[in-house]
Amino acid sequence: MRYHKLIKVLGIAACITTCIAQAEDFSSQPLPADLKNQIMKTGDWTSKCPVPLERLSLLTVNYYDFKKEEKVGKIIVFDSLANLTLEAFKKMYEMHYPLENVTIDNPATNEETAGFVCRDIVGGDGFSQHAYGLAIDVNVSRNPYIGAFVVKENGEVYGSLIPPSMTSYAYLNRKVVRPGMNEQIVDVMRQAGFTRWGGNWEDRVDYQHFEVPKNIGLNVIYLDKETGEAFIKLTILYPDSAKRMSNDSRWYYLYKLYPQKYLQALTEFFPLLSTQDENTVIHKIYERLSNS
Amino acid sequence: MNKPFIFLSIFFISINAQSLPLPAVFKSEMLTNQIRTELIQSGVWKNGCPINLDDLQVLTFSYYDFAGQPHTDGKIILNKSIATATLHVFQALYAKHFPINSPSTLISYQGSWREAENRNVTYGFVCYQNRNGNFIQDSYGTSLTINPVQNPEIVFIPTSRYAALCTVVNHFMNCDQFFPSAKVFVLPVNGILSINRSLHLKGMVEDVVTIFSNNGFTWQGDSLQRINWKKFNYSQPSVNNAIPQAN
Repeated sequence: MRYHKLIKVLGIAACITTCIAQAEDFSSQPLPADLKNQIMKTGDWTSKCPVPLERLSLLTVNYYDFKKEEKVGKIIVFDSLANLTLEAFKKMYEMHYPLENVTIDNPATNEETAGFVCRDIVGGDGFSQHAYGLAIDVNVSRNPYIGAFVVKENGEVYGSLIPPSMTSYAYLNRKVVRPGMNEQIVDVMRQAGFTRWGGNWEDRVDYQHFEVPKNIGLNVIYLDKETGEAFIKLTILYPDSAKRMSNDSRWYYLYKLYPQKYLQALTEFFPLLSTQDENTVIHKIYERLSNS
Repeated sequence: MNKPFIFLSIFFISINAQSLPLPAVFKSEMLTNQIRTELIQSGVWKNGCPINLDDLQVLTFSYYDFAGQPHTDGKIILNKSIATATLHVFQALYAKHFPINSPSTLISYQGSWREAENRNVTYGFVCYQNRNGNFIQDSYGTSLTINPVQNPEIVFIPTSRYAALCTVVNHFMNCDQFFPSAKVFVLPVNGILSINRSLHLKGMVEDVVTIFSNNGFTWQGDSLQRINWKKFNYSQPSVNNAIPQAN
């Protein structure tokens, strides 16, 4: 009897140390004040960036590195994506998918996994989805970017390889499967709302890049955190609907006019978008919201 | 009264003519004097090339083009030692309806494989020395280049002249960080839309790699040192030595 008690006590004690540690290792929080100051000081966030620092979340995650050692990492994403992204990192941890440095500091090497970066698209105009915290680059050196080809007048065509290393060049060969190659987590990331993978692009290839598509992202950023999260979940459930949604400003007006009832109506009518055009669905939602 | 009948019969004859299967051809022959002269005049072969004209053969084979049309006049030049193995490859590709674009001896391109690759030409022998003065394997007639536009090569150019050392040094330490900028180019340039191999574009070789490997060719698209999807280098003696029968 006394032994039973002892075992019970030990069990609880063990759980307190491990269970709490586990719980702490997958968590999200708003950016702490000192981090905000640091980001503004370094110029990594300026007033020109498309989302305010208040809409970003700092995630703490557990992961395995390529030596199979457990590490604690930090990553910044848009707040509506915080819980979904934590789920993705939990799954990668459970499947022992190795990750390069999950860090918000600049790592010394090309080995990196990162989310929010306020920057433009490589070789293009406009903000990258990273600038909204709506994209994550996973295992950068093992999943290179190749693209931004420049056609010169003499007919030469040069492109960029990112990271620009012999190591990442060898990873342009996707037939030879090696640990940390993102083909293995496309579904995990899709389930977290990062439904667009750079490995599927045709004009360039970006194996490291997972993003919430632009048409969805532009609708997420004006929603509050919880509504945004629910909306992203709808886009995961109904991918065909998600493809047909544009950044028509009426979506924004409907949310601003009926913030309390918007999500319910969207949940009901969003699946229809897969078969009906956007205009019809917007009118149906408008009718529902204005008449209830 | 007779007109519709005549019209119909012409119609049927033309249908029949189109649907008749062309007899497939797979053969290799010694170079004729005429081809020898053309190879020399066009610069495809010149003195100093590491293989004699006597050791080259011209292969004639049937193939399907990208429009799905069969042809019986595919011609390439190759080392006679791999002629049989190569004919086996082309026969299997033909059976699979794998599309091959413009096979050529390169005589009409004056031996310029760059120009030929820009036009998506499939070829065999070409005599070419790289920057280090070494003849590439194509110069021995033991290499095949298939649909270069759908199967380009990605060339990595480190901007530092010391970066070549990285291939060696990388075994001991992370050399990459010393060479923070590098560029890539794609050969041929119009291959830039074919770099995503998961697109499975028509004419991409991934689906037929085993046909080549079963006949002694090693695919250069599987390399980690130099990614060259268009190139198959012959590396082992072929197991099957019987000349394939035309069907």
